[in-house]
Amino acid sequence: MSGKIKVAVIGGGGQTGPYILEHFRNEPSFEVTAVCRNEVTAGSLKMAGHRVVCFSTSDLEATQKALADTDVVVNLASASGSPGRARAQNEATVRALLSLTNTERLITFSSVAVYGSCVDASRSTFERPRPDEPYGKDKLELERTIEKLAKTSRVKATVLRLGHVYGPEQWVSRLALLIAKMPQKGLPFDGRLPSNAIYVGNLAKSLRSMIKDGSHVGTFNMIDSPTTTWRQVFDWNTSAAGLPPVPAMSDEDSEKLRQHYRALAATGHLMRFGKEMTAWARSLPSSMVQACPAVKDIGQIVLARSRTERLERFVQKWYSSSFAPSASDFPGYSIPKIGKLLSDGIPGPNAASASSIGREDSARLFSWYSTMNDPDYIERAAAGARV
Amino acid sequence: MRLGIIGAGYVVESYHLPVLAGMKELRVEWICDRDLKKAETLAKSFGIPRAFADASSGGDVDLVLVAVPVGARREVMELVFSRGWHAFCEKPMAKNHEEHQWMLEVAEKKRLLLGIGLVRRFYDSTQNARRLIESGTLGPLSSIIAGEGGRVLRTGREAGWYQADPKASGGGVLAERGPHLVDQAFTIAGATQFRIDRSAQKRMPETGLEFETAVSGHLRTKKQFDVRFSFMVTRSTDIYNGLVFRCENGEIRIGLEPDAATEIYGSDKNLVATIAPTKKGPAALSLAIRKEWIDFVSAIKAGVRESDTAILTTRLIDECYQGDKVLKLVSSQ
Repeated sequence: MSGKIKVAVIGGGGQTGPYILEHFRNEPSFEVTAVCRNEVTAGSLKMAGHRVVCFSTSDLEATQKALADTDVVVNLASASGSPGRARAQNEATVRALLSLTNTERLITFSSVAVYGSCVDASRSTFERPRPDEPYGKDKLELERTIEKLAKTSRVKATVLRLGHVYGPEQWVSRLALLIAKMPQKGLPFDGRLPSNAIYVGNLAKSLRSMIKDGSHVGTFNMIDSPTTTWRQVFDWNTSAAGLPPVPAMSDEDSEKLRQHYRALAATGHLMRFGKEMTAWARSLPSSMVQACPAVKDIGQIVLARSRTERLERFVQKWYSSSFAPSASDFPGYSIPKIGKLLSDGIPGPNAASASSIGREDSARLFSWYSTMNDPDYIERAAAGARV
Repeated sequence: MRLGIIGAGYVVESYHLPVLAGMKELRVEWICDRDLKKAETLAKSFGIPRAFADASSGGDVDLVLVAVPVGARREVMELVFSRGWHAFCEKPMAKNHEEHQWMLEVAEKKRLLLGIGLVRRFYDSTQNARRLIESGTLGPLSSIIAGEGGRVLRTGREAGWYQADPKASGGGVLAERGPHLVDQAFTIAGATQFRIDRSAQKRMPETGLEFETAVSGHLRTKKQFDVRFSFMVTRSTDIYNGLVFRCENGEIRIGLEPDAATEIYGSDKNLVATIAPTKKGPAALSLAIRKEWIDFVSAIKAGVRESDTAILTTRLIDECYQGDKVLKLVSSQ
């Protein structure tokens, strides 16, 4: 590479895209182009002054034409929607990107979801991760596709298993701030467990270094370095947003939850289906009566005619027990994405550079959070007040 | 009643057809779309007898669902009127106030009924809030704040998507989201007139596609209240999504989802009560869509000649796009 490094960022309009583009724009040795699928996703990037081109990266010809002289491609894109179509699109995109003849490097995001929804480091290793959910399985499948295609491509491929991203607009911050407002919810193990998370600014900074120094070819994790705990992640978010810290969940309740979610993650889908069908069958009497009141009438007529006390007691017991609370009624279960809060630290090498979060980052989170939650912002903006 | 469907897009496939399939009041006779394959695919999935590319090939029906982009609406409505079909139109009703007015005038002359797919009118939260305001439980209404949207992260659509084209989509996010949000606010408040004091839009200079609109003004309600209103729709900034109705003795807040709860706050801003919806999840939206169809079909059967097609909303959106009060165009690269 001579002169500026031409960098294309695919999917730059997504959650992390704008932060990465902002960091890259501040790098004097980069010439950056964002790639979006249509003008709607491109709009906010263009408004922020980024250079954007629109085409579909699953179109081989269009990709080869548009990225013909690109040195480095950073692929943040992940198709969604109908599972079969999304998988085909994601594969077509990496095929197109690995077919580029003048591109030296492709950096693609996978996810720590490949290790499972509730990571058990004794089962799920760096070399043999064990995803248990469709998203993680798709990501692992894509990693294997990249590994295979990279063998015959002149493009050096880097796969980054991206940790849970937090920061303004990121899903982990949304989750943390949502949990902070839920009464009677607590942070499992008081947040002592490793978060496997990464601050969005640290992600951008790490990518920038990686491109500049050509390092980290291969597969790596991408999480905060040093590793942060969930307590650190949650406390940064609540403090920046001006909310009280999330209280702790007792170790006893936390351990109960962890064993439940580990067992779930370790159970194949067919087995899970069997267990869930059994639980559903147990709820049948009450749900059947609710859906078909005639069933209750028929039951009462039959019992009145049979006049068998044993039968009556059995039916009463069967019906009453179908209302009994199940394990899923335990309060902790209703915390969204709880498995991630109960995970072990992920194994394997980490590509992230040393993390730092400053006052400006906290101010940015506060600004985003208050704009999103305060209806009066709309009143002020509409009235023309400086917002 | 016999129904024809013009437009075989996402809204028809995902929302209308699953509900229509379970309604004995209506029988779908045909479906058409410029993309014949789309029409044929839906016809096969939903057991519709006929599919074609041109709506003029449509056999005789009692009413049609018009679900084509608003930029292509006029041509379709000319055909609909010439064939004497009642029409239930997906929002927005028309490209602008003039076109909306034209549709109403022709429909009146031909004694045809027009309906509009502003399904939020049938959400539990909308009905609860409307009843609370009408009853005066929290005192007179003094202001409304309404917001919808956020930074668009992904659309799953390619470059030719109609919403990326201001002509096809009606302008941008205001034409796409504004009809629902504004009509919901107007329905709850019982608005009869409005006055815009200030409106500002962000548009891309090279395409004219609008990304954000913020409006403030006043409206007059059926109960003769003069109410301040502010609303914002955006694709570029994460904002509060919901409606807030401030009254003398408290406020009502509702979310935008079909199964949003209705929250009642006291004058001290503390939450006093929450009214839960009757259905949760996808069932809530299906129920609302079913209600809007039953409402329209009942009106046709009862010989109703005129229905509320939200012309006040169209006029407000039109005025925002006219640019008289547009204060800011944001330039890009």
